[in-house]
Amino acid sequence: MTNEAIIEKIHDFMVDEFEVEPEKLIPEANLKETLGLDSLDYIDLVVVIENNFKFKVKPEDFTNIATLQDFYDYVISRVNSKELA
Amino acid sequence: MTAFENIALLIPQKPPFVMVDTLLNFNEATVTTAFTIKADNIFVEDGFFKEPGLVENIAQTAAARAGYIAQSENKPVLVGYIGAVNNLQVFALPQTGDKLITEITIDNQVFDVTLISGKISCNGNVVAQCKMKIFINQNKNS
Repeated sequence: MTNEAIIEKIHDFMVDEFEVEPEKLIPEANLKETLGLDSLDYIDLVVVIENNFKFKVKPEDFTNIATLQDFYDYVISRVNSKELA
Repeated sequence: MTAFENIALLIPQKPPFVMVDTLLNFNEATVTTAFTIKADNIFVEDGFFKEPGLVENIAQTAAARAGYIAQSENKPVLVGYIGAVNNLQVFALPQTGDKLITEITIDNQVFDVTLISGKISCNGNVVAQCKMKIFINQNKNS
């Protein structure tokens, strides 16, 4: 899966599952403040990630994810490491 | 499994806040309980079992599952909290004397949060359903 395809998939579920307005989906957007995701949304986000990208998320994985770019980087890194395994 | 009659051993709730009577079925993915609505139930008004009681019935069915697992592992029954209720649909309010059959399905387990779908049937008809996020407090003493 290419990085572009991963980002496109992330944008799709941000809009469809979390009702984020498409124009707010910019790399520097803060997940909590700009996109309005609360702690319960993070639970749903884990489910969506695991279902879409087929890897397990650990609680500590979210420690350093603040922006959408951080989130792209995390998912891309996990998908790539899974594909290399 | 056979029906587990003494459900009070499986859930942390105490009377008059117990909204399940019997654990009917348990497997990895689904749990079923039964509950007969008595006239003195705290959620009965004018003979009808109100919406908060239905939500609590689903939550306690999930609690019974957690309690059954804990008991089978010789661990204490932990307290859980409803974190969110989604897509609640109430089609009818059961009445005093009605027997509810409640089935929950485990949709996902994320960290300490169990995501479930719950469905309550009465006289063969679905009367309510919803999804829930239930947080399990791993600290027995808090």
